[in-house]
Amino acid sequence: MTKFARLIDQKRCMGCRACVAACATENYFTPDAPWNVMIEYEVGTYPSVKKIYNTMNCMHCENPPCKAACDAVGAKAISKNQYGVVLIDYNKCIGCGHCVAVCPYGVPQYNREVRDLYPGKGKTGSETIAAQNRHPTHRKKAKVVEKCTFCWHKLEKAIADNKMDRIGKDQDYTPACDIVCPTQARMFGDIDDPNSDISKRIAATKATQLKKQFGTGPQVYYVLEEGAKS
Amino acid sequence: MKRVIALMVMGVAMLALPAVAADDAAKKPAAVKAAAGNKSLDPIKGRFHRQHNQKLKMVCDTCHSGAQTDILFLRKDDVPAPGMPGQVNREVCLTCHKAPAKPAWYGAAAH
Repeated sequence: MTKFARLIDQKRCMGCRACVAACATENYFTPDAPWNVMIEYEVGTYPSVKKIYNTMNCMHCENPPCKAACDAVGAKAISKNQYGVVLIDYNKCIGCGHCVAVCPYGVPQYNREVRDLYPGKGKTGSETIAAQNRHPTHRKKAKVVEKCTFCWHKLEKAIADNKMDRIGKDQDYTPACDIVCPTQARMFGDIDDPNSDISKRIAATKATQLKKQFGTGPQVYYVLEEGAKS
Repeated sequence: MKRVIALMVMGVAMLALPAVAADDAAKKPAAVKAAAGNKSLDPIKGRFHRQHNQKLKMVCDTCHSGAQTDILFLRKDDVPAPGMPGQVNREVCLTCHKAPAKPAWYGAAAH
């Protein structure tokens, strides 16, 4: 069975934010409700200091607390599919915000209003697509919660086109943030296949997940820079 | 004469400039290291506080104590918000809000 995962190598990341920009353009999230952010902080004491760049997006947890909260509320808007991707159905979301409150990573974003990606500067090309012609994950609604989808619209296409082997390699079948990284700090693929590139690199680099103490089983792995928070 | 007066005014202004700059520097808040992260999810009279604090009578410290500022948190704004008691450690939330230990009051929205 295929299970998608992401690897982010902090030792290679230079904090350029190409991933953030690519996500914004691909998914045209409302600026106040970002799907991907770059967090920067410093570690060490002078003169031995360095900067850590930690990009955050949905961890697509094995045991997603957002889904548990949503199910318990009765909305059942959050699902985890057979490929391990956690998605929100905007038509079922009641905007209660319980998922926002319980996610240890702060991922779900309550979208108060649908706004342009670049407010006051007109719509980008993708934003001009009629709602009915968009992928369901891009049919924006106000007062619902949104988050990173692992670019499910691309993965779904790869599955439909029988091009699973091109995931992580082709632009059409790979999450936007991963394909644009100029330093190859990001990798995406099937973690269930021990021979996949991502499985090998996770093993070789001893990559780990963030905030493992919550027991959520995140599917985003990080190669941590020395002294970095986890 | 006008020239002399203008030069004197300029001289006084230049002498006063460092003092003004120092005053501005003193007013500036301390540098914040984290560039992302941190907005209070709920105002003090908001729904989450109403449920936990007013209805369930949980004291502030139940959720707000012991949590250091967690910067590994996907937020547009900075936390903690000024004057607020600090972030809530999500472990506290997950004590109850995680299957199968979900609290009994859930499901109200479905009705």
